[in-house]
Amino acid sequence: MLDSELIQRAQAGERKAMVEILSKLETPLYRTAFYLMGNEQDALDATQEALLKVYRNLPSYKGEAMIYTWAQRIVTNVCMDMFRKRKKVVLMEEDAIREDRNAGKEVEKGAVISDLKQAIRRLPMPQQTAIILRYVQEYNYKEISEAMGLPLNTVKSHLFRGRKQLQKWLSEYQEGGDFSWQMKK
Amino acid sequence: MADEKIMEWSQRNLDNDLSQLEKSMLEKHLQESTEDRQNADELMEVSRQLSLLPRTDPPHSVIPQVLDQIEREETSRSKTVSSPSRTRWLSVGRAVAAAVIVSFAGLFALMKFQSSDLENGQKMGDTNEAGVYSQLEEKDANMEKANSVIWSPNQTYRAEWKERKLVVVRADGALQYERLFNSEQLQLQKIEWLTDQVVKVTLIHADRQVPEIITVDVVKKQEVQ
Repeated sequence: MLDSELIQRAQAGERKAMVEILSKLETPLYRTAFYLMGNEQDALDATQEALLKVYRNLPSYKGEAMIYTWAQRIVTNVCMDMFRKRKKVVLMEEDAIREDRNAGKEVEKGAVISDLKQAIRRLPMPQQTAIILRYVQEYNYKEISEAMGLPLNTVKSHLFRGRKQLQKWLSEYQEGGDFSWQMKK
Repeated sequence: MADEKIMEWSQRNLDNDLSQLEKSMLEKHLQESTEDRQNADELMEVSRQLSLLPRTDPPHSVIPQVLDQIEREETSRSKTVSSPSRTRWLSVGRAVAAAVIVSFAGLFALMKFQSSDLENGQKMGDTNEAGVYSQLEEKDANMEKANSVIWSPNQTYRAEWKERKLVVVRADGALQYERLFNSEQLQLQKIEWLTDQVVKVTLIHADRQVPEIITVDVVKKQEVQ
């Protein structure tokens, strides 16, 4: 855990304390970035960028949120920025609906999604984030709310929708009978 | 119990968010309804699999690169002024970072690192589930569209262009600043934060070549030059 004394020392300019904080945040931030970005290299890039932002902004961190959730918000925003810059996929609502129809067709065609991690990455970004924070970071609703900067009920909505969508896909795959939707061990 | 309530409680049950009474009521209902029991079981299986997701560790530490970048930035910022104390902490920092790397190396020697690169899959959209999900959504749902929301560098404010309005909201969701642009000809080109409290909005007018730039201090709630 990062105690407030360590944070205060870092805010006061003690570099050793700052490096200790970055070290403690590194792995949790990497884990979120890994699941959001989907590969090791992008996750490392996102982690590096997020830690830089933590360093630059720690002096103005006021402690309204836990430092872990505050840093999680930074890394999720960094990941979204990386997607945006690459013009990959951060979809407007109407696009999301269209994509979902395509997703349905893909399932109908019997396309295989053999990996739970891949299935998560097919969810809209807020749902992905809520699922990752809940299960990989083991956050409760309040912590997810802080990390995403969203109201509690909105967070629940994203989490519930994400789980429901995964359940739907799981059920469809099982009905297909051609393959099982199991996580790689 | 209504279907929506069952669905919500089944979900909250997975997150240990039900009171003892609610849990008992849910259990009682699920014993009586095969369909709802099956749905709850399926959700539980999804949740069980999610809880088994591997806690992947980074293959190496990026802290040395972070410290190098900070050093480069600070050096370029103070080219003319040499500051020994500034570089001294970086040496300390690098020593600590080296210790972190050694720790990582030790860990990886003991553990079989699970490296599982994922394909860059395309995101699919959300479904419009009626009922409980819609009920849970709040007025600021639109703020979640990631590509229209820009956070301030210190993650305190988020700026969004919404129906000819620049809307700035604090992290807790409270409105900080709002400004309506009357012309329907204006379209957003870009939102960017110049500082932690100054946001720059670039708008394009349908009839003009030159973009209109508005810079606002959202704390003072006034336009700045």
